[in-house]
Amino acid sequence: MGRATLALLAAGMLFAAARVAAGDDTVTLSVKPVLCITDQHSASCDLSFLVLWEARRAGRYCLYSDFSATPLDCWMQAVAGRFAEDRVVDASFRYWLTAGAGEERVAEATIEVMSMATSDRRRNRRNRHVWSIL
Amino acid sequence: MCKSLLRQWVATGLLFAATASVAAGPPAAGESPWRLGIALGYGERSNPLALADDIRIGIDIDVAWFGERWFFDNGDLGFTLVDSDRYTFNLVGRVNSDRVFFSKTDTDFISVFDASGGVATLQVSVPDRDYAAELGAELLVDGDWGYLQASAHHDVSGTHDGLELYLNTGRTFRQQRWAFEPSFGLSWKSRKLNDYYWGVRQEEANVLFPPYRAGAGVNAHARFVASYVLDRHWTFLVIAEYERLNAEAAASPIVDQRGVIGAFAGFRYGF
Repeated sequence: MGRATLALLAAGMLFAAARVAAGDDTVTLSVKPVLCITDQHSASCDLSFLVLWEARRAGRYCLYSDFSATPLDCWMQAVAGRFAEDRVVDASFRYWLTAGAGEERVAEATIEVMSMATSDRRRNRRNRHVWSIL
Repeated sequence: MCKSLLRQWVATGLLFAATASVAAGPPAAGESPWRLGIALGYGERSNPLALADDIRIGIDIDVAWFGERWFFDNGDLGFTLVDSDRYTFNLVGRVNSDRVFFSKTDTDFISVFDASGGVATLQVSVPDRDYAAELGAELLVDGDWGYLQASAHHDVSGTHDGLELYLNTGRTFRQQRWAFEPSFGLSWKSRKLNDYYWGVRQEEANVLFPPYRAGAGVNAHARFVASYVLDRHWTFLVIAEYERLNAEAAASPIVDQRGVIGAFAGFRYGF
């Protein structure tokens, strides 16, 4: 596998992880960061989230998350917006955007929590098997 | 002496198993017993043998399964005797790793003057060696300070009849997507093991490789892994490792380099 192919592969994965487009292509919601990694030393992440959205048509848009039943923020007659917050995360959750007065989600982004902790220390044993360097 | 030492290890393990207050538990909730992965990239491990090629690494497959007591970890077959909050004690069957270098040996042809003044061409190659099936015991300990792995393995296949004692310690430093893991350790190899792989028998000797008997010795190794998690499945990783062969192995006529350098950079996909 060539270096260029590997670089393209990496770039593609980073893009997919950081940007989540709506099923309807008129609204895009992107969140950074989108991944929290925990381990046995730290069971949560203290993160600063930046949420950006863009729409082709101006309108009323509201941003929600799994943490609150009320909107985090709403914008009137807007085609773009940004929202920032600090949050301690220990489980996966979502941000989503609604349009108009309805509650239908027009864009959604998931923040994943990935645990590297294991209660089975055999999974961390180093074996020097004959075909591998890993 | 080696076999009696192994028997002592196994007996100690069985004693631990019989008296341990905390038995091996089932896998943690939500944790698959399988660990499957494939790494694609480029790497090399140098070959310390004379007339031998370095070992290229392009694809690396990770296949492991961890049951309540039995486990399979990339060729190692293990049985957990004790799994407590402080340590895990396993019996492990494995294949010896020293043999891997002998898979990449070449044959050379050299010209020599014979007694009559003519020139003769001789075929010269590093003697072949077999894989050895080994059985042993392994202690795993970890904590906030890092981890430690100690093991003793003895040949049970009649290949070299030797013993290896292995000690490795390290620690993982994680900063969100980045992880850095330095580790280092020692490996004592008995005279029989060392002599089987690195010695040259009388009947194998030639003009380049005279007879040689290797004694016991201690290898030292260090390793550094840096990884960056791209998403739930993909991880970019860079690995560098160095192993210094023991003096007895390094003095063998079939050995060209005392140090074994390994490096790999690539992407790992975990299923």
